[in-house]
Amino acid sequence: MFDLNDEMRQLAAEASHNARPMAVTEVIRRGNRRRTRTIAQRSIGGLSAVGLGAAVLFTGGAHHLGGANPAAAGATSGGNTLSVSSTSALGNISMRVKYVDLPTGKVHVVSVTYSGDLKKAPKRGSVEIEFGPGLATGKPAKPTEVFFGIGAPLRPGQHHFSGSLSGKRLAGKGRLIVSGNSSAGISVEPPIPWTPAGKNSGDLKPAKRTLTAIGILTR
Amino acid sequence: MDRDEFTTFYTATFHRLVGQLYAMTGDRLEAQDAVQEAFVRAWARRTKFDRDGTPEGWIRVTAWRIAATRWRRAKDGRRLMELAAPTEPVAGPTPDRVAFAEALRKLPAEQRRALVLYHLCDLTIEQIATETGAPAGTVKARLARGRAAVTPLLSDTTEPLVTR
Repeated sequence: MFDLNDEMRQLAAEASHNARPMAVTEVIRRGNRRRTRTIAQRSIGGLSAVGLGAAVLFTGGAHHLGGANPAAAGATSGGNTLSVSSTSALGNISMRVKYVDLPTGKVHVVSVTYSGDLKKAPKRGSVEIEFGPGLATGKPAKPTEVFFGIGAPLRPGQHHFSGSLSGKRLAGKGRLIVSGNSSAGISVEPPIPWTPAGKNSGDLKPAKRTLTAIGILTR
Repeated sequence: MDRDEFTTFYTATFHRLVGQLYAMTGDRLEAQDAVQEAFVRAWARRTKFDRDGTPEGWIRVTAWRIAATRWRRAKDGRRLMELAAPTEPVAGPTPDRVAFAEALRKLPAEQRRALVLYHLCDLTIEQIATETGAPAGTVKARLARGRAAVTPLLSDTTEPLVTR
């Protein structure tokens, strides 16, 4: 008597018996790599969407900071420093990137420091820092063009954050191979629900906004 | 799910899922690749993928989608010929098993998937409807048509294979 359950189980048993699983450490390694890439792509997508506006916003901020260069990248004895900041109804965020132009045409990111204050803290979020191509063309950066991204998780309800990246965290990543300028951006993910001030929140569906600042590593 | 839990989950379910995907796809290597890739994605989304309490179901659905996407891409390419060519479904199978694998392969993909989920994964109609995103009535129809299609194919092919 033909038994579909039995036939199906025997068929599957032969395939499962012959399956050769990858080592779990390799699965985890690939998963981690995929996660990093996904975070970077998602963030650079947001950055691209607001990139031009944010760059303009940043340019204003640079003058406020006293930088003569519109990109606020000033040469120092140890290299260059880029300072970006952004203030909005969501809060404020700022980042300083120290980098060096190498004779080989690469840019070496030496250190990154960042801080911010959020008026409304996300339940589960992170600060994402990405380096990608420059925005000189005015075209959005393609996700595949992201050089690298680093995420720092936020605790639930965390309003103030600050930190730095240097040494090991930038080891092997900090050298950007570029033919032109490159961009550095910082954002808080995921987007935070936000209702414009003065509006009746009961009548208005909250929009989701990302607090973002982006600047150009000029050479 | 932390690293240890994921390791345990991976070790406990990998082979079973490959068997299920093989029954759905009819291609052992494709099934293994799809399940492997689904586990990679699961670890990448480890904070989310077991949120509804059915991580094995998540892997199965993801692996099915991966396999389906690859199959669609292969349709217009060179691999179509490889897939369409007469294949050896399993290494060293009995004639009955060959006949069954061939009978399954002749079914439309969604009927095959419904049969596997019901008869191999022991899911209920409602669970299959949830996993496949199809209404329960559609699932019942797929099961009925799948069974009706498989049974005569087996009765036609099993006898000669056994007697020869």
